[in-house]
Amino acid sequence: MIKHFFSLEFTFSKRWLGIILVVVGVLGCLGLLAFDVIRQSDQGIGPAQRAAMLGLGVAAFIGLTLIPLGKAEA
Amino acid sequence: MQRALAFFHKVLIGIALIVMLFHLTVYIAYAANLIPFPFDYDQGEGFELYDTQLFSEFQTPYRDLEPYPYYASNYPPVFHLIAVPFAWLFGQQYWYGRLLGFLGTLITAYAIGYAVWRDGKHRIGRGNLIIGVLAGLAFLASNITYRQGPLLRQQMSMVMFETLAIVILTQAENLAFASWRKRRLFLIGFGMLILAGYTKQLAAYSAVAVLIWLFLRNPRRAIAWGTLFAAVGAGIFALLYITSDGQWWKQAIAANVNTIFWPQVEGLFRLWYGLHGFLIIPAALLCLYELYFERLSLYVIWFSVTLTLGGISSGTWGGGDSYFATSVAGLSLLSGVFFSRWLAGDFTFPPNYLSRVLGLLKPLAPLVTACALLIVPLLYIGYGRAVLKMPTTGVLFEPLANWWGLEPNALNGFYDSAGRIAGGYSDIGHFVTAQDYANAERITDYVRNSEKPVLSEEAGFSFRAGRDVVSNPTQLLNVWLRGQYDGTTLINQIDRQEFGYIILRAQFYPTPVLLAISRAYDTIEVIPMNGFEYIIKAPKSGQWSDTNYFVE
Repeated sequence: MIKHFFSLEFTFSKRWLGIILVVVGVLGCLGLLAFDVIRQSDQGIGPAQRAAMLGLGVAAFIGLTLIPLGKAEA
Repeated sequence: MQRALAFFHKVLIGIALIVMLFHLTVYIAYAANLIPFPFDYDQGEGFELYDTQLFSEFQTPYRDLEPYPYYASNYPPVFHLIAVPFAWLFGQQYWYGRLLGFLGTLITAYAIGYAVWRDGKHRIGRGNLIIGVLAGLAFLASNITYRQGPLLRQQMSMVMFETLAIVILTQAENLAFASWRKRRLFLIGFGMLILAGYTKQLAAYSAVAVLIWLFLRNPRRAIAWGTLFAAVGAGIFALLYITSDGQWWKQAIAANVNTIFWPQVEGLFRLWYGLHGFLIIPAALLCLYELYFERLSLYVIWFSVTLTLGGISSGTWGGGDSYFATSVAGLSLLSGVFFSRWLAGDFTFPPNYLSRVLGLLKPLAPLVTACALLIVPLLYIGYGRAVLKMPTTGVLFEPLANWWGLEPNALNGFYDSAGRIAGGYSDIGHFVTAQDYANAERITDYVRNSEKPVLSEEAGFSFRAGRDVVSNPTQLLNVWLRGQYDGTTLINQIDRQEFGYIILRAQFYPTPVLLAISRAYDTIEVIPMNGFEYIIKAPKSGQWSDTNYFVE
């Protein structure tokens, strides 16, 4: 599998791109929420965090819609 | 019916071309007006010229800010190095730096037009030349390109190198085999990317886009090219670090890390959409099409990454609308490709869950393609109206402004459809007048006649008077905001009234410096220039030692 990944023939499929976007989106959102808990700020979620969470949420959603596209090249 | 459609298409394309050529005329008029102006027009231009001077004398502009003359640059060197031969030939002049920026935008426009034409040629064996021309002109017509193009700044040169890199790398990828020609094009493309990065740091976003694209295509190639790219980039970085005794890191990298002001980001995104919406929607449709029905092109990834990261960065101190310039190149290119493909009926929908839904609309496909004949030129015409900006005075422009009912809403009787509502959209784009020249000379007289050095927020007056360039206020502020500037030497010099005069405009100096100026200097005159007020300050009476220019 790793050998194939690093071969000159390997290319990402839409499915793999989708999975990556979902993982990044979900983990990113969880990370931002965890950061907010650890920081223990009184101000709650700030505009930068909100924008980042929105972007990550959109990425995860797009990822979900890409997964059914299977082996088509990304 | 087909004949009538083809006829209206030609008429509308003709109108779209006239609209875009009008924008080109305004742009050339603005460049012709601004390029000879021998003073700062956009605050900071003179410091770019001073960087060029230092390089032409084989000195580094990345220096310690604490001792006199309190000067350091925060920009990488490529733009200044390109201008060095001109400095050797013509001395310290603004015109060649502005000319370089202006020519850079023309090259970018050509690259965009060529990319649109070549996409059709590669795909169906026939490129759409007219759409290529319109796409290139659309880039030049953007308010953002127009305002930044003829400035002595490195922004548009960076966009030129970025665009060339993206177009060349796409060309290389489209070659069928791993030939020497393909590798050579990749080398040139990555070379352009390095030039872009060492023109302005913002090009890092384009590098991120290229590496993401290459990784999706083939991780092994991405790692190989990425390693080579990083090695060359790091080598240049190390060279700059060593030759500046570490100041390169402090001045050009660390000092440029600023916090983001989110209301400015939001305002600039709204403005960007308001101006370019007619082309953003087609560009976005091509992004979605490639995402679900085709392989993602470098164009789409480049546009998405530079728009997102550049747009967010526009909210930093020192950012602004110019940070959208790369995405304007991207959207001009993508919309051109979309229009070219739409007109050629060159969209196919491979079987998947989405194409099954879209398949219900298949009977309408001929109608949708026919609509392109009317909608494409209309979108360019609409875009032309959205980005309208022009002087409302002068032989050509005044009658047109009266005819169209345009009221000046910017400096020096200028009309700009962008208005002046978004923070970070600077007051430039207007033409300079004979009065501006005269007033600039009046300010210069203060510098020329002072026996002591003059602390000026702009370098142009010092160049004109043949005096020392003292301080770079924005860079002083950058390092002060990072807590890396003490300023005692400069503040003591101000308190001891060792400057003959102090010339302020935007008052960008760090707060302790401004407080020292208030303590020791009084305003003696305010001179308008380019729509801004230049405050001339002289030492407060009783402490003033230059008897020739004693002020009560």
